[in-house]
Amino acid sequence: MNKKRKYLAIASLVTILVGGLALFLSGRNIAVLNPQGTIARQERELIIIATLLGLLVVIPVFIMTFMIAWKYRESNSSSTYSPDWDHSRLAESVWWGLPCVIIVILSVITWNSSHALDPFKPLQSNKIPMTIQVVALDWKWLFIYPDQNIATVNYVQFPKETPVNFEITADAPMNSFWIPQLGGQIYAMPGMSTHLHLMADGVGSYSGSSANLSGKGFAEMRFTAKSSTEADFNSWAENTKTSANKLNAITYDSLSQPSVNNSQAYYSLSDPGLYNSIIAKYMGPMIDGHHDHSQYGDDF
Amino acid sequence: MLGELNLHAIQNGPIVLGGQLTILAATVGAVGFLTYTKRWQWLWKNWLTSLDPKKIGVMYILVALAMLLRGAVDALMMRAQQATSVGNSHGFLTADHFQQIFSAHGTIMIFFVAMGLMFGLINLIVPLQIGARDVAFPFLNSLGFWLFVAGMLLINTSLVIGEFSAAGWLAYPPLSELKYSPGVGVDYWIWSLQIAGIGSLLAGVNFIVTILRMRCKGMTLMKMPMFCWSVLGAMTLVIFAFPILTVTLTLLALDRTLGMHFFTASAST
Repeated sequence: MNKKRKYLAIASLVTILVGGLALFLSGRNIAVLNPQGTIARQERELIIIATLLGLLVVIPVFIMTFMIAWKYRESNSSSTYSPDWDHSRLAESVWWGLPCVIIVILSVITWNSSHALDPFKPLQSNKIPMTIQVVALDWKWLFIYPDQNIATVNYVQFPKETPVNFEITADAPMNSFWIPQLGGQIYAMPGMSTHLHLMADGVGSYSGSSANLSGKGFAEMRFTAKSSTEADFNSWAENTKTSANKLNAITYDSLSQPSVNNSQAYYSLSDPGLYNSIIAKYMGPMIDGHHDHSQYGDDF
Repeated sequence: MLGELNLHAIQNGPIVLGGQLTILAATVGAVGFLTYTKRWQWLWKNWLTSLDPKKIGVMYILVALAMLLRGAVDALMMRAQQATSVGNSHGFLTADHFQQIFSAHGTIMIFFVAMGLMFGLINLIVPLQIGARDVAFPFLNSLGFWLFVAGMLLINTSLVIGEFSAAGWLAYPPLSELKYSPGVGVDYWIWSLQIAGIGSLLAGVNFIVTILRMRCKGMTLMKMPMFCWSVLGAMTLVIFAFPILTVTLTLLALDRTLGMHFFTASAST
C-alpha cells in the first residue's frame, strides 16, 4: 500500500466515525446541549471545552495506535529495527508535557467556574429575584411560592429573564432536583435546605426530573417547568390563589403520603411557613436552645 | 429483627422462578458430574484447599465469569424492560423488580466480576513477574478468595430466598433504611458486600506485602514490570477504601437491625 492510499484509508475512517456520530446526534434533543437558561449555557460551554481538551490527547493516541501497529508489523522490512532503543527525550516531553498543560488549563477552568457557577450563589440581574421552595415527596415534586401564597405539584411556573431562587428539601428519601435545560442538579435532602439559582432566557416548557433513585415511583416522578412572560405568570398566580384546594398542615399530611404517577395539582397556600416546618420535622429537640429556628434556610 | 422465613420468600413469580431453576439445575448438574466422574477428592485436594496463587487465580476468574453471566442476564432484562415500556405499555417487570435487578447488576458487576477478574489476574501474574514462589501470606490469600465466594453465594441466595435490595447499587440512605426498604433486600446487599469486602481488604494487604517484600534478587522497584506497579497502586487504593466501606456498612447494618440512627435523617423514624 503506498503512502497516498494509506492516508486516504485513514481519512475515510475518520470521516465515517465523525459522520456516524453526527448522524446519531442529529434529530435528538439532548437537553444539556440545548440550553435555555444562563446557567445551562455556561455549563454547556464547560462540557464542550473539556471534551475538546480531552480529544487533544484521545485523537492522536487512537490514530498513533493504528499507525504504530501498522508501521511495526512483522512483514514490514523497510522500517528500522532498534531493539535496544528505550528512551526519547522528545517523546517523553510530549506525552508528559501535553497532559500536564491540559490539566493546568482544566484546573484553572474548574476553579473559576466552580465559583462562578456555584448553585448557591445568587444570579446578577436588574430584576427582583423570586423564591420558589421545592419539596421532594414520595413520589412527586411539591413547589411552594411563599410570596405568591400558592403551591403546585409536578408543575412549576416562573417569569422569564428573572432569577429564580430555588430552596430545596425533601420529606422522603434523598432525591435530586434537575431541570436539564436550565442548569445542573442539586440534591434534595430531609432536614436541610439546599439552594439552586436559575434563570430562563425566554418563554418555554422544559422537562424536569429526579436525578437520584428514591424508590418505587421514581421513574414517574417528573415535572414540567414553564417559563412565561411576567404578565402571564402574574395572572396564573392570581388565578391559582383562588383555587378551592387549600394547602395547610392537614392537607399536606395527606399529600405527603406515598403515591405513584401523580398528575399536576394547584393549591392556594394557607400556611406560608410550611417549608420551614417540613424541615423542622427532622430536627430533634434542641435542648440547649442555641439553635436559631429562623435560620433553617441558610444553614447549609 | 432477622426477618421471617416462610414459603412466600421463595415465591416471586415466573421470572425469578426461572432464575431459581437455573441455579438449581446448575448445582445438580455440577454435583452429578463430580459424583459420576468421582472427582470430589480431586476437587477438594487440588483446588478448593489449594494455596497455590495460580490455582486461586483461576478460581477467582471462574467465579467472576459465572457472575458475568448473571450480570449480563440482568442487563438484558433491564434493556428488554426499557424497550417494552414505551408509551402506554409498562413492560414485563414491576418498578420494584426492575430496581432490584438494577441494584443487583451494579453490585455484581463491580464487586463480583470486575474485582474477581482483577484479583484473578493479579494472583496469576504478580508472583510470576516478581519472581516469587508464592504470595506473602498464602493462607490469607485463600481466605480472601473464600470470603469473596461467600459474598457471591449470599448475593445469589437472594434470588432464591427472599428478595434483593431495590435501593440502587450504592444504597444511599435514607432510602436503604428500614423505613423505606423494610424487606430483607438491603440486608443481603450489606452482608454480601461486607463479607466479600473483608476478603478484598485481606487480598490488598497481601499483595502490597508481596510486592514490597517478595521480589527476587535484582528486581528493584524501578525494574518492576508496569503491571506490578499498577497492582501496587490499586492495592493501595483498596486498603484505603475498603475499611471505610466496612465501617459504613456496619453503621447501616446497626441502623437496620438494632434501631440505631446513623443515617436515618431523623431521630424518630
